[in-house]
Amino acid sequence: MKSNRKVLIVGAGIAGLTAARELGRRGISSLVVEKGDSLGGRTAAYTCKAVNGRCQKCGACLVQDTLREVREAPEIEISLQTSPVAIQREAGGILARLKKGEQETQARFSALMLCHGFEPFDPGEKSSFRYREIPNLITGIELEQMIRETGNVIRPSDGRPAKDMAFVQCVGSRNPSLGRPYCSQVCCGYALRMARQIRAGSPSTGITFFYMDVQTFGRDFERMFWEFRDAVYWIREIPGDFFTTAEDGVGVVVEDEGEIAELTFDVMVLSVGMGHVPDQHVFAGWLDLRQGPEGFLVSPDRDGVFVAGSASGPMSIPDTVANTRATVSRLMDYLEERP
Amino acid sequence: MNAFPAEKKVAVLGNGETACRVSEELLRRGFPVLLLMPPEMETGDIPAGTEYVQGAVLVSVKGQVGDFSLLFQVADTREERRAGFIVVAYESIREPVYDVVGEPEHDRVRTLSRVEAQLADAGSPGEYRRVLFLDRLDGVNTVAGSERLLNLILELQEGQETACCLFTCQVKVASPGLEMLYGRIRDGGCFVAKTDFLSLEMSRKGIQARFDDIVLDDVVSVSGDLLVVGERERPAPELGKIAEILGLETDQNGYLQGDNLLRIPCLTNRRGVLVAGGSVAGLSTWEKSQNIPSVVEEVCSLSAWLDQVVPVEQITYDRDRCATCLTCFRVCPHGAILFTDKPNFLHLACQRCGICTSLCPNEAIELSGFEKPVFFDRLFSEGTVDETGALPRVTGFVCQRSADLVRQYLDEGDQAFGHVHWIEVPCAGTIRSQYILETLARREGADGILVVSCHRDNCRSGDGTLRAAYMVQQVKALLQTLEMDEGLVEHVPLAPNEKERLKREIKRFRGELKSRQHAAL
Repeated sequence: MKSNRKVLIVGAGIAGLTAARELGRRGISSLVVEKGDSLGGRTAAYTCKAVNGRCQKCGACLVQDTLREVREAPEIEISLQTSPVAIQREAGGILARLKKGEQETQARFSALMLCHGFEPFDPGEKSSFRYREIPNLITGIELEQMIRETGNVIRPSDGRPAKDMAFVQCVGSRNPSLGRPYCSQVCCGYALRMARQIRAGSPSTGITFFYMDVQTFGRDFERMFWEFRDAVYWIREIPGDFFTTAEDGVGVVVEDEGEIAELTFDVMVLSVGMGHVPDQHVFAGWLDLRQGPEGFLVSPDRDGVFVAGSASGPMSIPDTVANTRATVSRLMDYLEERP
Repeated sequence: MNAFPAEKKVAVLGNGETACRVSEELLRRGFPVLLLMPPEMETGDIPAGTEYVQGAVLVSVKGQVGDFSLLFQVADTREERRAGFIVVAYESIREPVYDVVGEPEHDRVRTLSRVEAQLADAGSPGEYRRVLFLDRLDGVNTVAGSERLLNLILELQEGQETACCLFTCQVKVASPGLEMLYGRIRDGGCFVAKTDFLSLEMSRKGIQARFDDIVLDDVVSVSGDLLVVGERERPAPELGKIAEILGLETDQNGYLQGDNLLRIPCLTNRRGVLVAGGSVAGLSTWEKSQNIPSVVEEVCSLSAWLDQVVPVEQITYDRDRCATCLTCFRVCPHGAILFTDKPNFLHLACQRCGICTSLCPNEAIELSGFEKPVFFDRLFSEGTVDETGALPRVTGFVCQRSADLVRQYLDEGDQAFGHVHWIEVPCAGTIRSQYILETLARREGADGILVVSCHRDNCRSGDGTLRAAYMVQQVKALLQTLEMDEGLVEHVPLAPNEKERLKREIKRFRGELKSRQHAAL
């Protein structure tokens, strides 16, 4: 099926790549512009969370499959280190000015798909966390990278293996005072999956969870939860003040079973949530896009403008794939309704 | 002109709103729909233009994508119809979570579904001032369940000015808008009790609920005059039979995608057979809103593919060697083999995993491009020792999707990979024990062998990983019998994003081989 219709996709993360592949399957060519210098977006830095040879369905590896298919598809063009500097609707499509290095080009497209992803919450924003001062207080994303590179959990301060660790959930989520009045949906999933993997590799590692509610993550949540419930020490409180103890431990003061207790861990992991990208207002301004109640862009699904994946709200990798396919379906309807 | 005369019609199997919505969306895109339904739909309106058969019970399905033939029974007659695609769209069924309260015959206890229906029909569940709501307390309540309770609470609070109290182990808010809905019902005065224990006392005057408040760490008592019991979802009873007829994998709950990441959001182990709504899982409103367009999109994509695909022989078959033992037919994960007096390979259904070829006891079938002579040629003529002459010599049989995908994106500095003689296979399930034994036995062979598959539940062919693991076990047992070292062969499950781990595994394996060689000397 040949077509001269071409879609501009902004962002080459899992959403942008999935969109390009799905459009390609329908015979629609696309240009994927990515401001960074590699493909795969944030997903490409996450670790596989399989336990004893069994997939836990985090979806991080999906980006590799998608990348291969994208590279093999002749109808997909990719431009790295490229950002749009202006996008506007015009009769019958989209007019975009794109900048690569010093060079600016202008091109017309049949439609636009914004797949610019999300920005993880920066715990440095909240001074009481003292995230930048405490070396063994890390984020979930840093833990992903650590496990991916080394296969172990070590204390960043001295490289010693972490014997006792804790996860703090809902950091930068479910918190209206931080302007984040929503559940980021992914943090329970990634934290529990990594915890389960760490325990499988090192059964003596102590793991504590500070949490409000455990959110569902995926279709085998029930099985995973039962297998996991007794392996972790659960404390229903989210601590907000951290300090360094002797020998570089991370300390917190919490109320546990009615007692005020000071607890110390080798490593504490802040399960940071998802926020919208800082420059989404630029896109919103160009195209008169609306922000939803959670602060992310709402996909207009008309006049050739579509938003997919975590640019439109917090979502897991499998949900991003589902959402992008659904958005492509609406985009195809739009293209087909036009001559 | 079509290379393959594909049927455009979509057979939709369902009993409610999902089936109706899928049909409507497909019709709008020009796909004729044949809806096989029970005598009456439970919910939803059958869209105009849908061809439907009431009381149709599926009997058997033959064929492949673009050309399925469905046999079904209607009353006393059997009918056979052709369809290019099949969508299973049964609604899940809802079971009240009576775990805590037993199943009391009490007019003050009602299920969530019943109260929802009363609100929809009469605008009110009756004169109740204080209503208690019960979600699962065992830690595994779902977004779909929480969402319905929260919506109902909001409606009663705002429409009826009812005082509400929700008992739950935790509030599931992992879906767009739910956290704000949760905030709204709390602002409206709903008391949310997070607990894992509840005792109820029913009297004519009302209901007294006592619970352990996890947050307050105390026993608290609340009274109400109606108890609404939340619901969990289970697959429709029809799904078991449908899975059997279509040869679909089921997950631990009985839904139709198997426990496989790669089938999300709407695929099954058979190309052209898709699942929608409550046949996928107990989906939340948001998940459903993503799932239905995904199904439609997949039908459109497959249809575009069928328009241009030229069917190629994926399998070469030697009738003289075939013992008609049915092994290939039984093991094919994709429903791509039809057995008459001999196996017939459905080339559009075949996904080239090669599992049938590795399990055929008489080598009667080969995957085209991976025939034994071609394979042995690659194994031995290329030489197993690379220029650096790294020892011990390791041969890696790798699934094209796992380590082979890792290998394609290597930095030039990744030395560890250069020292392995890689033989890629379409799926780790393709590898025959014979390949491994011959590689070890020949002089130009290898000192050790790694079989690298995907992780379980992350295998395109469903059970390729399990088959590879089983095959390696068999080889190890055989080596032991021959008084050889079973450590010469290892199975490594690996995801395509585990480059660093693959490097570590190779290093470890080579180290172990080295120490074994020293011990042997």
